[in-house]
Amino acid sequence: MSEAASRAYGSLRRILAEPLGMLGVVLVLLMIGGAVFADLLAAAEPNKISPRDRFLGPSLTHLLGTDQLGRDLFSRALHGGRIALSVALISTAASLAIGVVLGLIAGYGPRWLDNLMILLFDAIKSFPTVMLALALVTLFGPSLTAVMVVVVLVNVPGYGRIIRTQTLALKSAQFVTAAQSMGAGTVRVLRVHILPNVIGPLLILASMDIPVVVAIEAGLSFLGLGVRPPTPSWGAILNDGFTAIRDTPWIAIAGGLPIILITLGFTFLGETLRDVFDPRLKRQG
Amino acid sequence: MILTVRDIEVTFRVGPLLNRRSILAVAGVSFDVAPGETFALVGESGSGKTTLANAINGLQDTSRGEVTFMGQRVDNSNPGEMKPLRRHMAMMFQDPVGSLSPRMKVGDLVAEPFRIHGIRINLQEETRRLLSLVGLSGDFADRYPHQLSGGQARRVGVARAIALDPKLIIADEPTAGLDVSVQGEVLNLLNDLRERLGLAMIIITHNLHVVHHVADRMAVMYLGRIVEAGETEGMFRAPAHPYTATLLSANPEPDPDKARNRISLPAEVPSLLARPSGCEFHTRCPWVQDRCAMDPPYTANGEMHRIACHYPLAPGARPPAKDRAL
Repeated sequence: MSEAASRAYGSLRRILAEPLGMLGVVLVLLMIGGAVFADLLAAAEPNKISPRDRFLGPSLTHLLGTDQLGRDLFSRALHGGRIALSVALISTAASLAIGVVLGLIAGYGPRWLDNLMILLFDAIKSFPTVMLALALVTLFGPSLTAVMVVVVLVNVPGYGRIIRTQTLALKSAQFVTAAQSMGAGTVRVLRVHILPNVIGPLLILASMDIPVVVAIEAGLSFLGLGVRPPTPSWGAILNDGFTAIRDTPWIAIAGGLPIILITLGFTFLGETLRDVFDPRLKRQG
Repeated sequence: MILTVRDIEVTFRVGPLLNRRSILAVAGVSFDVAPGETFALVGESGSGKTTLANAINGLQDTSRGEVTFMGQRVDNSNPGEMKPLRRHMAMMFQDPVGSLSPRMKVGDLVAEPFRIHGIRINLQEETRRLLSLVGLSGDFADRYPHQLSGGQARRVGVARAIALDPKLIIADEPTAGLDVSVQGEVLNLLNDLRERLGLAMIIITHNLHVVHHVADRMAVMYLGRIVEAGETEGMFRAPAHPYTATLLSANPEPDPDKARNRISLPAEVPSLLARPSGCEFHTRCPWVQDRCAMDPPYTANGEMHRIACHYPLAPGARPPAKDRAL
């Protein structure tokens, strides 16, 4: 295990050696830290309404000011980070898991199953994200779960296709035939011989997809289709600030700034990961 | 007999959906392998050697015939039925590095057969034993395939093949991609292991030196059929089928002073989609006669030596002078 640790350390050093990678790591850690330690960092309750403190500008007591209900925006932004990051991480992980399994089945299984999967992927892909989201939310009602389902549905076809193509290429590789000739079953071939060789590029792509997921969650919450108020979410804060942007711009800033920072952070990190570990992906963009 | 192959055919379907045609890659092949014996399959690329090996191993479905291994039918069997038999039949593939999973360490690669068959032993110890058996130090266990030379990768392949103490090893081009000195080492290793472990081997190759060096019996394949089969020594001394004679005469001779009596063949190898009539070798045979284009040759089914030719050659025969312009 110490070897794995030293390899991980080596990879981290290579990422940190890139200025952009360094910036990405710092931003991501900052946002994650903020979300995890939200209760410690922000003294105020995120949902505590105090009508007397409405529309206060940034000050030492309210670092980012207050909104139309007098809630502390710094606290709401940090707690909103929890929602954003947990949606992003959980749904990306779920998309990865489902996409990998479906992709492996499509690539390794019989031809008809492959065609079926491709049809499924294409059918999902053919819906514009927002339309799909609206349809699902109308169906299930606005909730975090609905947001995550939308994200998974949007991501799975892309991940599945990548895994399928690579599995297809490896299916007849000699080391796969060799494993089969020894008596290895389908599960073993996929798990031990194919998966480790196809997962790398996908992890990099997934890290670059996290900001997209954050944007989807914020967008749906902005439209009132995501988390229910009063739960703090960056999209909801943005929406609160949107109506009063001329007089009290700090509300929109409190919702928008973290979105910008986390997007930049994960994008820098993902791009550095890609450049360091898989330069071949660079051109495909 | 540990392995009996009876009249097997392998058909591939090729071409677009509406113009699907089937080609016969292996066209009725029969042979036996006795325990502890080394049998060589020889032929040009495209003669169906590898397809035949895959069919014996159950990696390729057959369209006719029977393959019996250790008394059990193995052609077209399902993976579950076949699995226990796979312990006794190991395969070595053409590309030494390409047949090793790139993200696995050598130690895990050698331990894989045990894991697949759920055999509980001290894997680390066993891996070391196997590596030393093929002449690699235990340090290799921590290497990845891309850190190995072709010869080292081939040795790892041998270690994997002998791991479960098989009764039969099918080696597809065991010397391909290796330079001559390493080829020799690998062949000696195989010979040595065979004697020590008493296993039977099928060696598939187009390298006749390899055949001469290791095989007890050999079969020559042309367009998916065996055209001549017999004892290696006898066939090298007096090839009876014109194709065998041609192959042997084309074998590069290390001694530059030795007279070269090379027989050259006209024309290309015929396409499997358009098999020639009669004797399928007649389009290229230097000894061709009128009858050859019409009758498929009777397979002389002697006890030890079989020839598919109407006019088997006398020892040392030379092709007739070319009176026909090509």
